[in-house]
Amino acid sequence: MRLAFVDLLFSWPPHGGADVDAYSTVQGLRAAGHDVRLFGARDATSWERGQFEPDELPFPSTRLEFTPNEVNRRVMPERFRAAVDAWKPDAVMLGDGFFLKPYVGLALAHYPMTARYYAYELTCHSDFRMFQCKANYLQEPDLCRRCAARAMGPEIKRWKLLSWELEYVAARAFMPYYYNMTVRFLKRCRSIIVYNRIQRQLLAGIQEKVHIIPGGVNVDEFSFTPPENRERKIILMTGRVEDPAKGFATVSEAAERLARERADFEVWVTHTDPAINCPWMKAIGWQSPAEMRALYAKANICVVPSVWEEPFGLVAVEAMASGRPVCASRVGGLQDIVVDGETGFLFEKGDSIALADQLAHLLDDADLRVRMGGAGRQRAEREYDWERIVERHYPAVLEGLAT
Amino acid sequence: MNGRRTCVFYSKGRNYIDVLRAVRRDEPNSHIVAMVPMGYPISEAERALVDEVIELPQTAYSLRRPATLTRLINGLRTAHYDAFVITFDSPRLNLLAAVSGANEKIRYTFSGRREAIHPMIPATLFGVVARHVWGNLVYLGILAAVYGLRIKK
Repeated sequence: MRLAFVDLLFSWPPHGGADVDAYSTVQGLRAAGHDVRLFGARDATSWERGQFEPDELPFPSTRLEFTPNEVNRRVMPERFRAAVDAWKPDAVMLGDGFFLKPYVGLALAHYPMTARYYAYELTCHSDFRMFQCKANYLQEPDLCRRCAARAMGPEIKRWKLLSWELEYVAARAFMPYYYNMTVRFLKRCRSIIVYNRIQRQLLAGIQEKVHIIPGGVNVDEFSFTPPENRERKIILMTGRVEDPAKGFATVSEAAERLARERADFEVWVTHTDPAINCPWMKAIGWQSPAEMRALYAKANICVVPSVWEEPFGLVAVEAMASGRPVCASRVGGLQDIVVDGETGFLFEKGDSIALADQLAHLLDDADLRVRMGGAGRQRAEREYDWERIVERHYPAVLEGLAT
Repeated sequence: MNGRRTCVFYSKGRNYIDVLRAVRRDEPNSHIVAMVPMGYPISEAERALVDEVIELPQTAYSLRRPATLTRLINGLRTAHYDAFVITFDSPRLNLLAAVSGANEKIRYTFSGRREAIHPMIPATLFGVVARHVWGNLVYLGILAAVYGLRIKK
């Protein structure tokens, strides 16, 4: 099948999990024999959008250039439509994007189409993390419109807009017609792809054909070796830890509690602020993907203490692929990744006492760490290797696009 | 190398490596100096983007004290960089850039836009006021739409 993969935010090297997902999906579908081309958008004044060089990607791609004023509901859909039409695909897969995504989708609605949603951007205009809120824009649009307007007020009033706010204004996402257009777009899609059950539930009543497809890793890139025998065991927390939604506070409290009773551990965190350093905590700064893999190999235990409904939780899969037990909060996609008591432990979000108990249990029992790490590696190979993901999940999506 | 010395002043967060990358791209032949506070965990990826790392004898928090800040400013003025780069548009960092003694003061916004920090205070102030007026007008329109217009499903 000839597939156009359209992504309004794609960057490579990746800025986040969505970029990795798009890249790996395109690669996987090409490996499965499909002719796939990536169409991305670049705004030269913003590094949030389109920081990639087509020549450096291992698959064909088209980068469309936009000025900040052209990132709007008229120019962007027109340009994408012209570029995709010129390539004549059989179907379109719509990747990452914020508020302009439905406009681009409807401009390409003459193709069979599926759209991927990576977080809660569809159901919460205030914050794509849908942090500490249960309201759903698709069900209670007026409530959510007001909430989003209030949340974005300070940035809009100062007229200092990042891509999220810029698209909100450019797409007129605060207008009633935006809601109706979004619903029309979702209904025009042959299917929607999401990461977890919560995201699927949020789409109920609007689009019933929803595929849950996890993200993944190339398991072979992660070494599965026992960690060095160190006097102080390493507990590792990775990712964008400065983001409060990632739950660093929970780890900090748990570590402090543990440190009152024992000194045989050290928590390494990809935090850039040395002020967090103390005898049991170490900021190790930003790390490249290769450095991250080496870090997992050094670590004894990994923690993912997110306090938002983490759509997927790539760092948990990376830790499992490295054969490390994972203590994760019982949220979003994380609760599907970590099998409680088998590949690690789950705890209620923000519960630092439970986390401290689980860490103490793992620190005390080397055999348990090895057993859980091994089970995690097997699970990563079985469920979260990109090749397997494409083989297992995409035939159903493509079948829906072909009929 | 073109002999130009560009100092990129540390800021907390993921933004710093993005700025280092952007400065290297925008000034491939400059001698780029990463200036970081004591104890900053500079990664290999960050180190690879710069020609020199200067670790200040102060922590990020002690830099907020007037005495240490004065020592930093004196050090910057003595070093006399050709360009001084800050990574956020904050009043404190803008002021530091203004008194850094560098010939050119540059700011990278959070979204990655490279901006010259305007040496003329009235022009800068006018820009800020104009942005605020426009932003407030747009916001009033948004409030009118979300409170005045209901969605008919």
